[in-house]
Amino acid sequence: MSDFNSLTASQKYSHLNTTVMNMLTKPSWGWWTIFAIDMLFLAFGIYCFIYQVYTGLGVAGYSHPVLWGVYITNFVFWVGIAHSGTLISAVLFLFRARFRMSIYRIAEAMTVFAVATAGLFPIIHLGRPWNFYWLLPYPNQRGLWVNFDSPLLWDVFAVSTYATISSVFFFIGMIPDIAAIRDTVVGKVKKTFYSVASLGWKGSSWEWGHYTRAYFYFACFATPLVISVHSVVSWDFAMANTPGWHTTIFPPYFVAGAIFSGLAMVITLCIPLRSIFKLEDYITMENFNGMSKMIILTSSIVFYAYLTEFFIAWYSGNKYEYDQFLYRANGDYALFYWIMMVCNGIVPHFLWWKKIRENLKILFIISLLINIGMWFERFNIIVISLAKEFEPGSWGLYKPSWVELGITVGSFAWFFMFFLIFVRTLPALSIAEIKEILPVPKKKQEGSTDE
Amino acid sequence: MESDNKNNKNGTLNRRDFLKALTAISGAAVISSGCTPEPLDKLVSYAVPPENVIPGLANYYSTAIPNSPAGSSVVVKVREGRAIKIEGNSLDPISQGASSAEDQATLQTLYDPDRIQQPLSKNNRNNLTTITFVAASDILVNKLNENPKNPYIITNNTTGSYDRLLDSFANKISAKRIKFETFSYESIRKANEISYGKALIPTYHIEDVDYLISFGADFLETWLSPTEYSKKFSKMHSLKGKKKSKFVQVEPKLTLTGSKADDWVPISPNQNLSLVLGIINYIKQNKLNRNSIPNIFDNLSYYSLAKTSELTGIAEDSISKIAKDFASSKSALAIGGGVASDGLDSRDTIVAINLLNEITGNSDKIDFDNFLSLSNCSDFKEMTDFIEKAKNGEVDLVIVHGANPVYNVPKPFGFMEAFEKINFKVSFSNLDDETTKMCDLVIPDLHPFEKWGDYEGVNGNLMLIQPAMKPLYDGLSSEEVLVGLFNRINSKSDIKIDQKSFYEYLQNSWKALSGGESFEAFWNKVVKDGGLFKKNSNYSAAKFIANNKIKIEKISTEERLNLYITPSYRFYDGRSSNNSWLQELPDLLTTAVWDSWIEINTKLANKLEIEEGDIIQIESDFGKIETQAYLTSAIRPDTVSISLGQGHTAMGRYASNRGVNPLDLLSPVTSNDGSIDFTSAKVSISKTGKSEKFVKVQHSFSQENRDIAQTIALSALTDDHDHHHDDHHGGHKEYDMYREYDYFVHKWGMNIDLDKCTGCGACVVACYAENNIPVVGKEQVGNGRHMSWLKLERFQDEIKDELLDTVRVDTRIIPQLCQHCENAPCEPVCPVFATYHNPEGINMMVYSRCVGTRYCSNNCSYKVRRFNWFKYEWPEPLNLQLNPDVTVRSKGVMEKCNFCYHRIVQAKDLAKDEKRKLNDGEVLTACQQACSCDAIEFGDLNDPKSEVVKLSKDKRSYALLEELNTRPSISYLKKIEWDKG
Repeated sequence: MSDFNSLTASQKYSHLNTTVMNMLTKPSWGWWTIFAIDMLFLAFGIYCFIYQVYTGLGVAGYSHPVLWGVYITNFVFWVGIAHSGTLISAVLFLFRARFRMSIYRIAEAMTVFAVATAGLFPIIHLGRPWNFYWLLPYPNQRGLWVNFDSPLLWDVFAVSTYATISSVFFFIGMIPDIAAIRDTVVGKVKKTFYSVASLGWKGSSWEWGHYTRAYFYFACFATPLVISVHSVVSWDFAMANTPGWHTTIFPPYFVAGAIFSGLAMVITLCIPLRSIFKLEDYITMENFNGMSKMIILTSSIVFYAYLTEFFIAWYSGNKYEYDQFLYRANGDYALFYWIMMVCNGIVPHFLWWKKIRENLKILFIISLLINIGMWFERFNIIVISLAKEFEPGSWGLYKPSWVELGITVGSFAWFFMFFLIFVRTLPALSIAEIKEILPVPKKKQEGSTDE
Repeated sequence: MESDNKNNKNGTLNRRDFLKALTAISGAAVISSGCTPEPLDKLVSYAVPPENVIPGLANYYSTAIPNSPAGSSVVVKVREGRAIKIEGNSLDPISQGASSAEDQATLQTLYDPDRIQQPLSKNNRNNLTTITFVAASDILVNKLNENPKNPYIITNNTTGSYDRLLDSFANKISAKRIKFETFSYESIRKANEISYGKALIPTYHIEDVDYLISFGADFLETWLSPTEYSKKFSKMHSLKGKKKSKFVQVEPKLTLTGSKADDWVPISPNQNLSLVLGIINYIKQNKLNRNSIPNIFDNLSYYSLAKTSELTGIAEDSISKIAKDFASSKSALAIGGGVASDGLDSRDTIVAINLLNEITGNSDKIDFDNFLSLSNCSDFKEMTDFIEKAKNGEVDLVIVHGANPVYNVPKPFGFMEAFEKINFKVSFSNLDDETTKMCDLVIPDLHPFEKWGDYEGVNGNLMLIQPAMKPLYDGLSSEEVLVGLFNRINSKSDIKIDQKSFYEYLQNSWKALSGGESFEAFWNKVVKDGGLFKKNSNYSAAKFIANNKIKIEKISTEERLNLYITPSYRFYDGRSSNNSWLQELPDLLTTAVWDSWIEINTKLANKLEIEEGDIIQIESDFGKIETQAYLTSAIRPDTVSISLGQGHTAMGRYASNRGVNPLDLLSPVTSNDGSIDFTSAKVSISKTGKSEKFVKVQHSFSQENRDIAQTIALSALTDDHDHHHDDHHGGHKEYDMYREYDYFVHKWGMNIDLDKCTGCGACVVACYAENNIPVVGKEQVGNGRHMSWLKLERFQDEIKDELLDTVRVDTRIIPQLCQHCENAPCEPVCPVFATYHNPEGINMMVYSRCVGTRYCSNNCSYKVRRFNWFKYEWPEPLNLQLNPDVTVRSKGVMEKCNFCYHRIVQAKDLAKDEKRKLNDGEVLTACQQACSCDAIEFGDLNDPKSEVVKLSKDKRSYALLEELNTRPSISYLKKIEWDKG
């Protein structure tokens, strides 16, 4: 690879185009192998789901009184992952944070795919999934309506709105880049696909004027969603009377947790992508530094929330809360609780050291640990709270079954399937926006560069 | 043609075309309806409607369950020709409309999927093959005509006409009869012969006593007549003004009955006699006796307080307190007998108990006029004689009906080996149980709900058995078979039966009772009523006559553990084991299902490093068995206990190969009166190293200081300060954000008296029967998928007594069902309105609307909702029992108690038809109706005069988890505790 910094501005522009174009060439056998393995896991997940629908939800490990388990954990986990995409693309756009430029496309893609994964779980977890559309409020011949008091219904709106906005935002941001690809790509099928997807983008200044304004408005529109979606998801729990759920700290705590886990996931995705596609010139230490600092911030918020929960459980004098939190740290699921505490509360604070932040191997491991910790956070909130509620005579334990684990693995496969297709078909780096931070080439060379 | 054209021209639709179109549409509708998740089965309408059957309306037939110990008179609800529910017969003075769990589950015995449908005969290859009833009776007649040597007829305790028929049959074939009952209470009978000159099992009038002490008699479970005693106990133990009677239970291991005791006294097994004599001695020394003390027992003075305490393991203070309380009570009674006091000296124990009653002037509560027919059981000696003879090959033929001696006679007596030697063995059982399996000819009997008969559980209280439905499988009752072949037997005796059928035989024996009336009118009346019940409750008091000396044998004390076998209130002696409702009804004290377990004291277990679920080998001198360990503090450390009823090797899919039969461990030595000595086994236990999950319904037995099942001290109730009592149904309105519900007409509510509830489980089984609740099996219960809408929770908090270094186990029972909250947490969270608040205050569940988010259950503070994890099956013909008024739920939906809403609708319809208002007490929920201790009251909270409103305003009333402000429609009455000290 050429020494990027020694290139002229014009060469830098074309280097960027080639880099992105190279990602869209015919996939190697390595990609196919990964994709095949991924499809295998997905097929197993689908098999598990069909088996579950056919036999009944009893094949999952549910046990009274724990009637939510891994599926809802996965739902919250994936919705959480979906958060940082919009945060990086919309919020940081509005804050003019430069370190977002080269990673925001990956983050956005991750958002869309994570929402697409999260959206499956509320259906998978239903006792009668074939009736899921009964949750949608539309005039129907059944003469029945939905219950707007139920937080689950709010979820329907929150998640579907988020899915819509983030997809639109994702797509709009890509239009100029797709047009750039359209201009260079060969082959009729590809040409047609990119032509349609670019919506006839010509790159005129009139178009750019409208485009940038539209992008700005979408960013403004998407920003409150970053806060609203996970707040609504947290209400699934906070609105219930279950000790361990019924707490006002949940919305900010969940939003912070979601951003935290989303950032970790972006890092998890970016590090291998960067090395496979040789994107070192674009995804730089500045990006990882910025994300790491945000992780430190969100981790601190989350950790503070953990401690607050304990403090309030003691301070409120509510025996149910008190017993619940004692049980979390000290009961049947204590191992998971401490995994969560260490992974989310302690591990991220190693990122205070710049050396660790910039050691990508360690950063990668830390990001994985955070993902694990955040998954267990949701598991702990859901399962441990349900296991010991008000009435001691009803207490019981839950253990996930192979079907639940199969579907969980399948959901990761589902997510990575989208991601694997994405990196090979759509521009994973934002050509247009990265060019904004590259030095502008001299005028006479303008003709030789695309756009 | 012309008209067609005309119509076409006008462009309108004529009638023909319209019908064509309609057919096409409805055809499409039929096809598309085939795609619904639950396909409809083939529907067949009546060609000729049967008489008396109006589809949708139930018929009720009085009949009886001729089961031990005392039989139950019941009313069978029949819908479209199928028995679907039973209730106690309220005309019967014994049960007074109540029924037990076992009674309720009789329906599953009727529809038992393992019922033998046709007679079976052993062929050349030693296999049982199907034959006809005619062929079967031919085989039997031929065999009987071969003049078999020493024929035997072994039955359970038969009474009434069938008993007479069997007697004449036995005479005819010169057979010996054995009426075998595992629990025959022989020692009571023998002791009463000594004490009162009457070899009978009396009725004990416990209902009016101030002080009741029971030496191991589990009268709320199996002892004598449990339903009757539950009623009586409820009456005796309830608060009367400011007074409450006291009940003391003496037993080595806490039983369900013991858990209701005000004082539970753990005693070393086999030491009941010492304790009774110690008490008598104390009374004698302190001259507390009212009547003179006949000098029956030799060395009464040997039983000083110190000595008695040493023998029994009970503190001296406790013994003297019992003696003082007993003697000073205006009216007291001591009862005993049964498995607990069976031992070498069982008869003497009962004599001593009788003596204790006599010297305190309490013999008048023992009623020999209303003796139990159980008194007519054969002595166990006859069984051992039979075994002896059969072993020597002296018995050629045996007929077994209603008994399962291969299972029930303790193995070391060698019944099985002896039985095998008999040439020709006939069984009249309709289940392929252990005994039937060995027989050469099986002629299946009908279920009591399918045949005629009568039963006399208590002397003079006659129950009539009438068929409530057509036999499920074409067949004949054993009675009919016997009548049919009676006159075909060649015999020396010329006894003949004049009647052609057993029905006529039965009528004939009732003719004498008809009095002045025409027989037809009389017969119609008794058939309708379900029998001829005793109305007169007078009786003459028993007279104590004993004066013979009784020598007390010293019972050797051994180092090994005592095995304490408890009869099961679910399976009795094992006869009801092939019943999925009873198998899934949790044992109250362990909440275990579908299996056996051995109860071990926690301290002992810790010493032996045994944990719950470990497979333990229990070994006596005569056998060894392996079962799971269950640890409890409510058993003496020198004793282990196993419940009876499991360990069948045959009998059907639910019973066989499940658990262990502790009778296998007993010694072949009878007690000194000849009865089975249930306490004879001394065992040692050892770990096998294997361990399995102990499947139980409840996992946490501590209340965690949450006051779920509350108590109130008697003194707090009786002091004159007028407590301000919150009206729970008013709730904390100031905190409510939402508008109040309007309950325009009714607001249904329930009250459950925890002081009365004994935890017998009848309500649970009644709920299963009424509401089509599926049985899920051991594995799924282990996974926490128990479906019961009504759950009996029991809490045992251990209270350490520092002074005596003992642990007192405070057992509390609370029935948990949907509380029908006004502020129901489940309602707002359902996204599809599958659960909603109806205008009568009931929290309804619309199964067809449910998508299965299960959020309602997560948000339910009481955790009373159940989810259909699978599509549950009722193996045929158990499905015939399903209540057509209640939906059978499909997989993936939530379900729970709905206060038997179909019953409410039915009662409202009836009131509307009769143009009147609904009366208080007109709607009975299934659980309430089955309750034998009147603990459940149901009614309209809008009606200020209703019983349930009165009870909810009682001083003892409280709402469960009141601080959550869910405002339940169910109020509980606190259990009353005696003040300590």
